[in-house]
This record gives sequence, structure tokens and C-alpha cells, in this order.
Amino acid sequence: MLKYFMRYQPGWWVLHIIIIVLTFYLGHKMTFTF
Amino acid sequence: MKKNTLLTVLFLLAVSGLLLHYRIHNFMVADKLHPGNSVFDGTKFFATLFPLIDTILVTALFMSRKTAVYGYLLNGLIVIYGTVFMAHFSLAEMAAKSIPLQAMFLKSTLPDIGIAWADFLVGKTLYDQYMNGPS
Repeated sequence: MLKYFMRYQPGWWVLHIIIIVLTFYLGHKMTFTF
Repeated sequence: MKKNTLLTVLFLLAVSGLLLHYRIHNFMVADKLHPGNSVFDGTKFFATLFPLIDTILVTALFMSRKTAVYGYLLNGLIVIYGTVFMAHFSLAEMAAKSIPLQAMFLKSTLPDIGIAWADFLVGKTLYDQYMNGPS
């Protein structure tokens, strides 16, 4: 199991998790009103 | 020398996007309940914030070979966000205003998405030049 995580550096995982959370947050925040 | 030209193009596309978003979708919108007042719109603020990051941070990151990879990454991220949000905005507008089918194509944000991808490809070319030298 660990070898799959160690395939990429921790920074890679941190960055991707931040981006995924940010994307979900933005999807939640966006409201288009006309 | 070519790098300076590409960096200038990248900056101009970003700053033009910023000014257009600021003018067309300003984040202070007229309050319908209280005429004369304006209220803050978070969604439209993001439409100004992302081009602002694109203008300042991405341009700064692309200035050096060491940080160019992060500039490339951030530029790509902003372009993908731009594509998704502009498409969503356009679809929401079509649904709200029931635009006729023939007008959908030209009234959509498809041209704007094209410009955003041009910005990405200029960044890609600049990144490739940093990594491999001019070809």
C-alpha cells in the first residue's frame, strides 16, 4: 500500500489534495444569477 | 529575446482578461432591493481574482527558469477553471434567458474560452523554450 503513496513526493499529494478541495469549494460557491 | 516577446504576450492576454472581467462582470453589483446601493458578488469576484493571479503571479513565475514550471502549472489550472466556469456561466445564461438555438453558438462564451486556451498555449511555448531552448 505504502509503495503506491511513495510513488510521488508528499508535496505532490498535498498540492493535489489542495487543488481538489479548492475545486469543490469553488463549485459550491459559484452561483450564476440573471 | 523570443522569451521576452512570449512573456509580453502572456502578460497582455492576462491583463486584458482582467480588465474585461472587471468591466463586464464587476463584483460590485447593483442591489435590486435597495436602488442606488451595490452589493458584493462572490462569484463575480472570482472572475476578477483569477485573472489578477494570472497577471501578477503567473507572469512573475514565468520570469525565471526555476519557477517557470509552477507558472505553467498555475496557468493551466487557471485556464481549466476559466473554461469550466465560463461554460457554466454561459449555459446558465442560456437556460435563464431561453436564447434561440441559432444564437447559442455565437452568444456563448466559446470565443472567450478559445482566448483562454491561447493564453495557456503561449505559456506552454514559453515553458518549452525555458526547458529546451529556442527551436
